[in-house]
Amino acid sequence: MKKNDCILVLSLLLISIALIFLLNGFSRAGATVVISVNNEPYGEYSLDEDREITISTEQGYNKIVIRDGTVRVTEADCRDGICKAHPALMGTGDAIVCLPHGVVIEVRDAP
Amino acid sequence: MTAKRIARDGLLLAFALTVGWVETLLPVIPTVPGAKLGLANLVFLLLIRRRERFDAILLGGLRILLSAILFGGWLAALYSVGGAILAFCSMILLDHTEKFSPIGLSAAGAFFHNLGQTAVAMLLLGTKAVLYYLPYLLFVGTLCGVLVGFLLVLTEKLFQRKQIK
Repeated sequence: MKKNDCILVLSLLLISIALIFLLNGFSRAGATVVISVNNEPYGEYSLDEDREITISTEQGYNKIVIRDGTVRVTEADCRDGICKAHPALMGTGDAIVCLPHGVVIEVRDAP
Repeated sequence: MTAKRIARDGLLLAFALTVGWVETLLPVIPTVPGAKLGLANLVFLLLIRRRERFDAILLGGLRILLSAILFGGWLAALYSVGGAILAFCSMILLDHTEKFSPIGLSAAGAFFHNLGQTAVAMLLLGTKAVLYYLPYLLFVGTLCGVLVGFLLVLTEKLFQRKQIK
């Protein structure tokens, strides 16, 4: 039974690695930050203009900072704090998601 | 449903809930949001391996429900349901072939759980942004699955030696 496991596990791992390259292959310097909350558009902001955005939802708040052509989450009161720990974004397709708050921050090309 | 079975399932459920919560206290890895060890899956794997699939599915559902009540997050519970459906399907199917050890089952369960969760998140949040995390989540998740599967192998050996049913 062990041999099948090896094949299975290696296949799964290879698929994930392949996906890493696939997804990153589509990335290039972005221009706009698009934020949506619970599947509804919240706002679009240029990556070139430094700005602070605080989003308050029923579940809590997230503070988003656009600076020096990157965007990150500096403060949030969600339980896991993953959005805060995430490295700053700057390429298209990159995203920070705060799952508990339903906040999605994406970098896209100019509209 | 004997009393003994109910009692045993109750214990297993409590274990799954507790360990599932405790592992969220571990440090978070930035590029892999929400990646957990998945120790609770030990319970479901155990039951599936014993061909007690009904119990496994029942406890799986109850665990998600109770987790949502106890630890909050009905939105998160929805993600879990999606993950659980795919994970259970894969684990039960693989177990049915009788060609895989707990390691394979667990790895597949982990892989498909993450896949399912991401799919649901994409639907609910209406964005492809979560796809960004998926490959890393799948990779780390599968590795954790192997670890958990290995733990189950040890557990099953222990049960065999000590004649625990």
